Amino acid sequence: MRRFGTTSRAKRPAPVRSSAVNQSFRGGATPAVREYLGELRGAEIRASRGDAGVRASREETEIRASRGDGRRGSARTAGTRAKRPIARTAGSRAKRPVTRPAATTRDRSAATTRDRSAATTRDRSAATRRESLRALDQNIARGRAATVRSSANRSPSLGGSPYGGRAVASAGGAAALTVGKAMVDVARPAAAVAKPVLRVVTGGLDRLPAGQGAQAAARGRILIVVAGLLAAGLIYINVGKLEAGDGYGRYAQRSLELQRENTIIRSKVAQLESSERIARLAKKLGMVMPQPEQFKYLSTRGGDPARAIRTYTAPTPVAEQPAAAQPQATPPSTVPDTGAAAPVVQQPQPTAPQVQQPVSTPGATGPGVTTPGAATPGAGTGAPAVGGN
Amino acid sequence: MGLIERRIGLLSAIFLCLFVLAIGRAGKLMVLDHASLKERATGQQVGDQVVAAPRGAILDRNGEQFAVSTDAADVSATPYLIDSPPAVAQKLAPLIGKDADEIAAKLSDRESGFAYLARGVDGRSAQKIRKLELAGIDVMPTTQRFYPSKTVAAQMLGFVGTEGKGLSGLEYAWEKQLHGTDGRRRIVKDGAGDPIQTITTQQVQPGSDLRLTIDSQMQLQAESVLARVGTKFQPKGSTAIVMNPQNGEVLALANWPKLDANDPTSATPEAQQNRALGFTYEPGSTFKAVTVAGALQEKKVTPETIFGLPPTLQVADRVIKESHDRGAISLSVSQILAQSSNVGSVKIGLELGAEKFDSWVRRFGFGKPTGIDLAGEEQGLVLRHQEYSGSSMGNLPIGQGIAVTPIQMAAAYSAIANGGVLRPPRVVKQVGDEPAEQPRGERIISGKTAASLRKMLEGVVGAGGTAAEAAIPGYDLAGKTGTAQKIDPQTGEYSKSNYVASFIGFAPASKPKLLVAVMVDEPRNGYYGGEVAAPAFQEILNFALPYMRIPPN
Repeated sequence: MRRFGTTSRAKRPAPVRSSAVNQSFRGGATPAVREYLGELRGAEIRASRGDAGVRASREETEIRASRGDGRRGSARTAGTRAKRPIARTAGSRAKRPVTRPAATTRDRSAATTRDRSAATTRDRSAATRRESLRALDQNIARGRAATVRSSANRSPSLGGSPYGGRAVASAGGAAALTVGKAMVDVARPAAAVAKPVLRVVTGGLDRLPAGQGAQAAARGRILIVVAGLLAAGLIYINVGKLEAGDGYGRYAQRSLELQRENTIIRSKVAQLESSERIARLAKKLGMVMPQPEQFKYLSTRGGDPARAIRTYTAPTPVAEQPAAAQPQATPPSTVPDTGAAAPVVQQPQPTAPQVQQPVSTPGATGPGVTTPGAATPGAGTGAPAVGGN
Repeated sequence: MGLIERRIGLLSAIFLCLFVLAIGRAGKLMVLDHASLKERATGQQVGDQVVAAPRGAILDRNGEQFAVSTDAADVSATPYLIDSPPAVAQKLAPLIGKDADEIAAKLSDRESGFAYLARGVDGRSAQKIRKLELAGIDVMPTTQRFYPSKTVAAQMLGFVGTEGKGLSGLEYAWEKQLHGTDGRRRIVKDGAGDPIQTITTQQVQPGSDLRLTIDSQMQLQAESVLARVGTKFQPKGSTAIVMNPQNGEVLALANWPKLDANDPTSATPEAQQNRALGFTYEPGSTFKAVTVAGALQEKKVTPETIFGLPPTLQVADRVIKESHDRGAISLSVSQILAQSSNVGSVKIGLELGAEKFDSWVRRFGFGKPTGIDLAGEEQGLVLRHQEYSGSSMGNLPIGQGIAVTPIQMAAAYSAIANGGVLRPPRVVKQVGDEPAEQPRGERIISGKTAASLRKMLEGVVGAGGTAAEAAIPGYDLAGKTGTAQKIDPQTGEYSKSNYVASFIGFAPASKPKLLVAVMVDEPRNGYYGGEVAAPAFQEILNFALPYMRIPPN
């Protein structure tokens, strides 16, 4: 199983590489990965064509792998690789003229392995590379999902990475992609690391073809959906605000209208209650104001207020009594049923009414026009008519 | 390159150009014209609206409403926006109560950008006009003051102008409390002009209600009495004041001729005047009580002091004589007051002296406003003693040569009635929920002097007094008649035909609870106070005494 790796910007600061890494984050695969994939595909094509250069390169690679030296050694660890000055990175490859040392190596390798069977080697190598290619494609697809998760959640697996932000990648079940200073384990199965919610968003990406265009388009659509939702939320809030303002305005208007109605009604009530109107109507009905001499005031004595309080009861509601209960032919005399609490019987007389003298006890007296003589004899216990009640 | 590719290219170029143009235009609008467009948009979309504070009501002492505010509207037009003035005028005429031709004439004036068609249109009519949705016709909401009792206390209440501010009477004097504070609202409108947001920038503070000391029943009765006096004596005007002398509360303040408070401008200036406060006149004999009070308090005389009175008395160039010819007699101070002797009063005034007399005139509150909580009070005209002529003390003690107002006389007699304390009369009992400030009184004469005066004034209404016919059986009344000649403006002399008849009295005399002052200006079928004003006084008391539950002696 082949592995590939890359170092972080922290150890090998290179603007070009950083750009490439960021691009790889957006595109889904680092340049190193793409380059490696390209090499593999190219080698495969060349192998099928019998290209000697490619063969030499493959042989040289195998030799390095057997020596345990080189950039693709399986024994490499993150720490050692990070400390080593040279690693196979996108930046370094992009800048360095790798063709010269590769050509030299290829010449040497070609010289030492010329006697081997070219056909056997080519077949075996092609099969191995095809297998590697498939494995890598699958890992990249899974790794993209993990990258999305890491960038969205800043998952503890990244923040708490033992690699301390250094880029370590391992192919064949341990491949990793570097995103800035974060490391994403692309080899971890997406289903195991993706949260359920994110899974909804990103799940479709796993099933998409590995091509960068399709994945970018899918991500773009997601972004559009998210932006659309945000815009819809914003519009909803604003519309709600406008509706609330409109509602407040309508209620304020309604309140004003009701206040206006109230003032009109109030003025009407005032008009109906006017003393001038009542006096006019009373005059029309033939009513006249009594003269002062038509009022008679009763003098009070010491015990009158207390006696008035004792005898004071609420007036009997005449209107509620059935007509059969008042057989007297002379209205409006009322005979109380009770004894001591008998109220004074009142009988208005239009010609010579008597106005009682006010007594100091409130409630015991009243300005009622009374005719003491009109009281039914024997009513009650003979309590005197006090205060006209 | 094929035809299709060329056309696509051409279209792309056109769209690109249009896009560039649009971007440029947008940039101009957003950057270059930003300030002016923002200002215009603000002007079109945001408008400040004044929300008129509901004006407080005016109530009588029992809560009956004398004045309320009701919904109304001002109807205006923008003539150049109206296509068919006659048609619009026909629709509006019945609603605003004006002639259609008059309205059409206003609407046809295309040169005018604004014209009021009607102001103070009632709320229901305004609503109907709004529903017509006539282009160029604006209905601006406002409030209208409504006086349900129409003529009752109209001069005292005053009236409110078209701008909603009090212009006279209580409405003017208590404008601040009645008006409250107007509110402000900012209305944000959409492109169609419909309001989408309303922001209250200043809260409305409604005006406070005024509860008066006035009793509507008493007021109505006083006005009815004045109306009968008006019918009988056809005076130029008359006024009546009913007070509680113990605390200075005015229970009724009536004027005649009547005035419809809902249409004050249609009345004559005489009708609009609150004569109780604004009418200055020579008080005549009612002023003799002040002369006697000063002399009593200065101990120059006692009620029993006898004066020998000749038929006439020469003071400088002026000859003082009685209203009715008589021979030389001797009268006590009490009799002088009861019979309203001019010669006797002048002799008492001369005993007092000019300086002392002047100080007593001022101590009783003449020459300055009483301080009643109403607008439009006159202060009268009182000479300083340094300005007295040689004959001044010949006419001032009998109430000539001095100008007073009815309310000043009522306040002075209240001081006599309540035991010697002069209090500013007041008509406002409560503002909102707070009781109105009650000014402190000032003692001007002793209780003993006041009691002596009350006793002497009882004789006026008693047998042999000048107002014996004003007596009410069972009640001891006290008062004083006044018959003052008016100055003829053409001759500058006292008129032989124009008088002011007055009567001021209180009941019960021993412990007064009601004071009534009646003043009748230029009565026609009689002019003596005892003949014109005293019956009115009696009639008012006939109602007021039982109404106030004041028992007889």
